[in-house]
Amino acid sequence: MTDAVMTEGGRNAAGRLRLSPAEHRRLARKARLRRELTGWMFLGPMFLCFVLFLVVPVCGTVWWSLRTGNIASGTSFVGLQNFYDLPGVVGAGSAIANTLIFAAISVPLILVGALGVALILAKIRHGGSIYRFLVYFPVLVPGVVAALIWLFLTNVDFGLFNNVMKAFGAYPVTWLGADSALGVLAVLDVWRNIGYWAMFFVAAIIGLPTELYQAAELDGASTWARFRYLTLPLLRRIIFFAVIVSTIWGLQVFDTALVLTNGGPGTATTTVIYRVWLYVFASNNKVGFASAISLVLILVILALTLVQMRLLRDRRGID
Amino acid sequence: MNRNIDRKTRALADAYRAGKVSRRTFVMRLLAAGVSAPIVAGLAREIRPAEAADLKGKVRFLVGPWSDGEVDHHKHIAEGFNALHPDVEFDFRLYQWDTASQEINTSVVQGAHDIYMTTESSYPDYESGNNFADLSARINDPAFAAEKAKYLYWDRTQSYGPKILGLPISWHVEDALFVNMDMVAAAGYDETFVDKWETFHDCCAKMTKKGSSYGAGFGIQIGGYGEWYQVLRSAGGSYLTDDKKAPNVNLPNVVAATERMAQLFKDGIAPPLGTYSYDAAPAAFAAGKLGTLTIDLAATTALPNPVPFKWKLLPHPPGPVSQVNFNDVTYYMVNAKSSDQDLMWEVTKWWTTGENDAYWADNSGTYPARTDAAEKGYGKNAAPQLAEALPTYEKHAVGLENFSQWSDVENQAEAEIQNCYAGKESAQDAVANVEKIVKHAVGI
Repeated sequence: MTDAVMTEGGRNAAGRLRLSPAEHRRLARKARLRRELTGWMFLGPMFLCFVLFLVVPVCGTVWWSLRTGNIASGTSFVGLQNFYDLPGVVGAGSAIANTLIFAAISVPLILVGALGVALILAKIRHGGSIYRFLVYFPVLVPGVVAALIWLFLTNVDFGLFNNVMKAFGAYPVTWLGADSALGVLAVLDVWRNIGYWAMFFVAAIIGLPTELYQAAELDGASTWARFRYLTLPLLRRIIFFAVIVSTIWGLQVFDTALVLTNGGPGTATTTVIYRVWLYVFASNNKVGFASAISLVLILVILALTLVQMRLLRDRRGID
Repeated sequence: MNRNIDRKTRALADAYRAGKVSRRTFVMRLLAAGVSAPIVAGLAREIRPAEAADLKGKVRFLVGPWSDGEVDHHKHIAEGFNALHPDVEFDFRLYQWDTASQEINTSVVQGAHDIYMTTESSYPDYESGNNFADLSARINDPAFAAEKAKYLYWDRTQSYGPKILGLPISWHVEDALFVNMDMVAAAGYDETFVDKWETFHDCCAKMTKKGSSYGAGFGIQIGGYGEWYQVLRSAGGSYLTDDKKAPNVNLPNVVAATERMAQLFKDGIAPPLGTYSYDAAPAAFAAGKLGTLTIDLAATTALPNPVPFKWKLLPHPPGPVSQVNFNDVTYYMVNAKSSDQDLMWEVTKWWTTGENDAYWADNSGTYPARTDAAEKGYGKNAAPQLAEALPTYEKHAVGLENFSQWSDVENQAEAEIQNCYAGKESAQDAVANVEKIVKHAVGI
């Protein structure tokens, strides 16, 4: 019926353009294609960087891990030998232990500290931006500079920490000694990262629905109860994200260890990434070995992330 | 004075025009007469013979920070070169000692610099690769023979293989013992306290005052270079046997020597590892906080002048087998990728002339690698203790071993032994681990 009243050129009696279903489908396909192409064009640069700087290096790491020698003078294929040799290498155990201890100290301190700071910042009515800037400031300091600052803070003879100790009549402490250097490194990491996660938590806390807190207050819930049964569950997604990302970062510590302690004293602060760096740049035939360690670290991080996701997802399922 | 310089300048210019002196001699004599480098450059340009072929291009140096004035010293040497060849540009970059081998390796592969200051520790590695230019033909050229004879350490350099990769610039004691003689005297000893381990230990113990000073300071604690290697050699060990087929580390004497070093830390005579870094230790020594300091000779440039007490450079106490001082040679090497190898050779030669070697070594707390350095001005700025200690250090000198993984092993071994010094593992375990490191690195 409608088709019957259409005039020549595909226009109906009202003069509006009408398309045949086939033509409509064709144009719809064209529009969809154009939309997709536009999307890919926007995604393209990022995707190119992703391939160039992540996929290619990871593939390269797999390739190098099966070889021995060095990049400059050539390598030869050794199959899985590098992986077989890993457990017996001197220093491998201490590097893994140092990395795990570092993450075990720094990650909880960062997250608990950041949450505490965020709760305080969220309550500040006036001048909150100044405090937020001050808390965030260490994040802006590059790792190398942060390590240099802490070199001065921990100096035995004129460092701030020992000046305080001396003021209380105590003997100077060797902060970067074999027993304490890893702890200092972890505290430095807390100092650097607490502001970063505090900003995430502040944003999340400010966005929490106030009516829930008002209702809880009317019901007589204490401050702790409101935090325990409202704030924490409502922040669980952001906390979940923070735990995973900060753990991954914790397992990758390197720059501050290089500048502050050079991996020492002895191997007290030699982490897994530090050892990879040593094998790549300070050894003349261990690029394959370094690649094998890197791959194992990637797999360990992946496994830890999956475990964390599983644990936290189970918790979420209870809600 | 000015008239005197003017007269000398004119006489030299006349001699140069008449072909009686070479262009290089002309410039060097002007500089020696006290004429500033820019003026010399102007004069040389002005009265340059028309037929003189000149060099052109840019030369990029990557050098180690021997002193705070490292770049300035090179600029000074470059001014002299530019007096002869004004169309050559220079760029000087510093690497850091902690990351020296990494920075050099990366740079040479990328072709980022042309001339490198390298230490002998990596020579066996470089010898096995092709990144640095082989200068054998140029160095063994009969036209260079007279000049070659003025350089030291050719035997040592050529022991690493058929190629000659660089011109030596200095001989350096990596583990000298800086001694506060006032503290030693107060402890009831004289400089012979280093003749026996027992007297060394006792003197260091007496110089230790809880909370204020330690008897035995170690400046290269974080990272480590050569401190334990010296102990290893003094105990009759080495990383590899002479035939390079097996490790030669895990020996009873080596364990014993390592144990007695660790005892210094256990007894509180040496500051806990991590107390003083390489950079901080000279200041602690100068402040009287360390009775002795184990560190390389470049620390002489970091000491105040004058040091407020009597001090000496002494050798380390004898080990169970021998008394040794670990040392190495520093070279200038040319990147094989540099396009103008002739220019690089001319520059390398200039940087290691008697005058320039003397000037650089004198300001860097090290010994020049030229026989003519003393007559060319070495000793004007260097601490007099250096010259005084040279015969002793030469007597006990021991260098590194010739295998390409030496520096690789050294990096890891020193850290492993520091675990023992920090009380984290026994001397027996630490030495056994070093042997494993040798096996893994070399592939035995």
